[in-house]
Amino acid sequence: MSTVAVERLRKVFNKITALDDVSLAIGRGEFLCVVGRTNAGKSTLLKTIAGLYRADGGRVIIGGRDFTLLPPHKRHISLLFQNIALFPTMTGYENIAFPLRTANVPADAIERRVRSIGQMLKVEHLLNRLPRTFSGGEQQRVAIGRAIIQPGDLLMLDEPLTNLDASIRIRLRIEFKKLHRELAQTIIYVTHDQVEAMSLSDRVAVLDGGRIQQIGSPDDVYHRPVNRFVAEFIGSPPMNIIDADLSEFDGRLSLIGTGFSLPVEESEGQRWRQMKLPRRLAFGVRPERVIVAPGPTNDAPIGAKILWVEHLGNRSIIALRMGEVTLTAVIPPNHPLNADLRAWVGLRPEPHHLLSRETGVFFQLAS
Amino acid sequence: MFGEDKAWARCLKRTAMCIAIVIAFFPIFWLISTSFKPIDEWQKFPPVWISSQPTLQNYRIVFAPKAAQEFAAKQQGAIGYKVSGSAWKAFGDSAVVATAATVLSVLFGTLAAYSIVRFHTGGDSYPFQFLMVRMFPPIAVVVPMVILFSMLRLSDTYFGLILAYTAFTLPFSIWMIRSFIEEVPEELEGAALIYGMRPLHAFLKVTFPLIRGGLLATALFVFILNWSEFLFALTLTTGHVVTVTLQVANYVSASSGKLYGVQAAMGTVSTLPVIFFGYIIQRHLVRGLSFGAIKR
Amino acid sequence: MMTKLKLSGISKRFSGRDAVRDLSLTLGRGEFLSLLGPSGCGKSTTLGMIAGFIPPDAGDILIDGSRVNELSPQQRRIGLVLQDYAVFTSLTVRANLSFGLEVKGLKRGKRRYAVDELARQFDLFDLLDRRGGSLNMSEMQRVALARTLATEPELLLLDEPMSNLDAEIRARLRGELRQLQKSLAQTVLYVTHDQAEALSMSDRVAVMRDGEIVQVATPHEIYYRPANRFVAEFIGDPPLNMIPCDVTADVATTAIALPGGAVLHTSAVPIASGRHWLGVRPHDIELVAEALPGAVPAPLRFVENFGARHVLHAEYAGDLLRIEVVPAARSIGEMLHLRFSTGRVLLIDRTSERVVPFRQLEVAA
Repeated sequence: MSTVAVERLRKVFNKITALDDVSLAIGRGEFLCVVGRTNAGKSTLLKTIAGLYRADGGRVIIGGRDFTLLPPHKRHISLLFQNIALFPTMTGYENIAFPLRTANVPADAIERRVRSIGQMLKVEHLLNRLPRTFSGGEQQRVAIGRAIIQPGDLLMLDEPLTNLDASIRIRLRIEFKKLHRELAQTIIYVTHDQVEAMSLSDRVAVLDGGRIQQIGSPDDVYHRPVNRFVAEFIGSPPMNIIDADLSEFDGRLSLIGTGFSLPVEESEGQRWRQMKLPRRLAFGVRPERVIVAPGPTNDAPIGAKILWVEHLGNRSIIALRMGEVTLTAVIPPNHPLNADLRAWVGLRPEPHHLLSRETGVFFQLAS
Repeated sequence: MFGEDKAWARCLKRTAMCIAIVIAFFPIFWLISTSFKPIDEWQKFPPVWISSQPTLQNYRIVFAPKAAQEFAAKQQGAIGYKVSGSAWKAFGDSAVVATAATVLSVLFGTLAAYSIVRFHTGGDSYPFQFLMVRMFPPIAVVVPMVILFSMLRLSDTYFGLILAYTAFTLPFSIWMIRSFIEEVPEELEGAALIYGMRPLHAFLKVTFPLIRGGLLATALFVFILNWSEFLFALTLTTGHVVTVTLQVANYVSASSGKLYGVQAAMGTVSTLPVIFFGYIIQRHLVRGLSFGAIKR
Repeated sequence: MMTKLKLSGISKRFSGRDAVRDLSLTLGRGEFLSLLGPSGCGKSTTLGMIAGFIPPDAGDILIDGSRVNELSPQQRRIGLVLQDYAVFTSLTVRANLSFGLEVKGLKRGKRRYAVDELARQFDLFDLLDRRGGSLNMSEMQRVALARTLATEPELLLLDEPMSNLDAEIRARLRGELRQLQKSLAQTVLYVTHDQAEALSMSDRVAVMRDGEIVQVATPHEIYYRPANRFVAEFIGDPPLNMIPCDVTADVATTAIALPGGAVLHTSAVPIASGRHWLGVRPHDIELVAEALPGAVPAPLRFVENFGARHVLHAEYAGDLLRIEVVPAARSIGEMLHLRFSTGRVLLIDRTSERVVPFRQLEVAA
């Protein structure tokens, strides 16, 4: 396993810039998740690091060596493709043994390694069969076997769980964490599901439109998003972003929006003034921080109409209309609220969750 | 599909099918039937459907040199020296030319198709440019071809004809093979590359086995085109190279006009190699034919 | 409630395999019912039979009380929305909606006005002149639904309409779809493999497995009172924990011994003594500071950090237990002490795999 550095990587297809000035540094043995929407450039990033695409600009440095111009078969990297790509004319055994065979490892050593991987991934019964007889989950495991049998500098996984049923996805997810601990490899894991990214990674890199939006620990991207995209992408449900005007009346600051008004605590007021905020801005509130009550209270003074309620067993997601604004809130299960009833909400915008309406970037606190 | 077919609809369908079958198979029936007819029945009117005096004379003329010579002697006017021999040379020449041209066409077609699919050579419209070339009626280029061949001293040579056939079937090969290669996800080769294989090796071990059926199907079609080609055979040769099609055309005499029966015999026999070829590869054929057709 | 759809003993066999086996189901007017199950359980086949594309081998399909087995899909007046929505990408939104109305039989003059009304209803008015191919997923879903609902179908069938979408869009579209359905009082049958979708949107959920319906109930019932092990494990994110336990069944009491020492008591229940399972939901496990009665020790192995909550994986009885907690700093390897919320655990019979209901569970001192 090695450190991986990607410096200002650029890749253009026809007229579309798939990767635009992408820079990443991954530590030895780190599990990095690259997360983003479909066509954000995630697969392109992996394939460029693997050497399947030649970069149009920038460098790929692995373990200190510049890999940028090296052909893929000379890099010691494993890539697990989104569509699995098991060799259809070879058996499970031959597929898993493939990297060792091309490296001319002696046959008895191959036999031993394949059997041991087969046991670990519980695919022994598939070794003599062809891939078209495997189920989706089985194909996945055999492909993983092929990817890990020869430990290289880097293991890359391209949306390995995307094509599987939701119930299998939830259970297999932890297997990747276990695999990471057992192999102690540097791993890049790509997905469009931010839940997976949050669950698995040491650090998360959020990619959109070929550009890195933010890299940080799960706590960083969740509690301190850098811009609107990250705030709305990470978290289920995502952060509420609400436009409001900052106004001062009688020495008290408050945020005025269409149909609501939120006073800022006196103790906080000082910090807000120091930030030199514009009048027109927006603020973000995480759904679990929205206080919802069936009747008006001190903490929940603002009236709202309930649009819909999702009962998920371990929690409920509520959509409310507060003035002209739609809010999502998460509350514990077992409550009396239902659609079309009235409820009362309370919000407390944090200073590090204020953002510019024009640029979508969150204002930094004065240190 | 949904609902049940009404009886009259079914009857109509069956009748339409019968008519279509008759129209499609009638020429073949006539060919085989004529090949067994004696000379006086070739052009009789009303037409003789099945001969009452079937004979193998036509086949003898085609295959046995002695019989051909005797026949030629009895005829007045030129049946030319090529025909007083037997048709074996024609079968041989056609076999050589058609096979060689097929192999070359599929080989270059695969190389070109791979390049177009994997590396986007020539841009997005390149395959369509190929198709356009194929749309040219060969007769439009025959005169320049003859002049060109004569300048290059390729007239009436095996190599020349093979070259011409390869060139003209290449767009077709590329177009067909392209669709087969497109069916193989490029991640498959990618996986082979990543796990240590060199590019050419990856193609041979991973992609090639998957397109094999398609290549055979393409080969069959190209072979049929080459085997039955007449125009270039006629214009680009002057007698040294004789294809099956030319041989058939040469069965003509001043006294009896076109020797239909002999032509029919030769025609019937010349379908056999194609049927034979198709039979041995039929297992791959179905897969090859449908493989490219299903658009994802 | 009036019954809109009734399936009675439907079966279908494909090349020697039973895809659907003797399936019966009723759907009330205006109800949103989800057909939930893993891939290959027969849910799409069932949908195909209701729609009329697949003839059932046996059984009756009744819509509004009349048997429709012989009717073609067009005659059944059913709306169908599939995975890819099939919005006509080269036509404008207006043309797409118009298509739906044309199918309904509206003449050209009336159609123009009706399209405007339809667009207003589905919040598509500003998009009327946009090309189908230029819409984003949320807009496409609304167009597909509007077009289908314009035909005023008796029943709307949806086959995994959101499985191709990114996770973040799905959550938003779920709410929109549900709102729409309620405002129109449209009867909907929704096929999915995602339990969160089924739980969040439906009036009732029908869980399918291997061609059969295993349980039909409200989301609340399905979650808190699953009929058997399969349903219990299939529903819930994070998934249910299955803990092996030793049951001693007496005349008047049942004792459930958990690995690690804790023992739970309840009144007599129909279960034989021996090894069985205790099903515990991750958010029904409490972390307690020290070894209290009923608490079991489990070392922490993995932490999943979702920002607003953590899911801890602790080693217990040879497997990993999932615990859903409020975020806090924890270190891998630290010893946790866990207590199970006795009110909501599930006692699962190992042989029959059925959930055995009990009255009240108490921790032995």
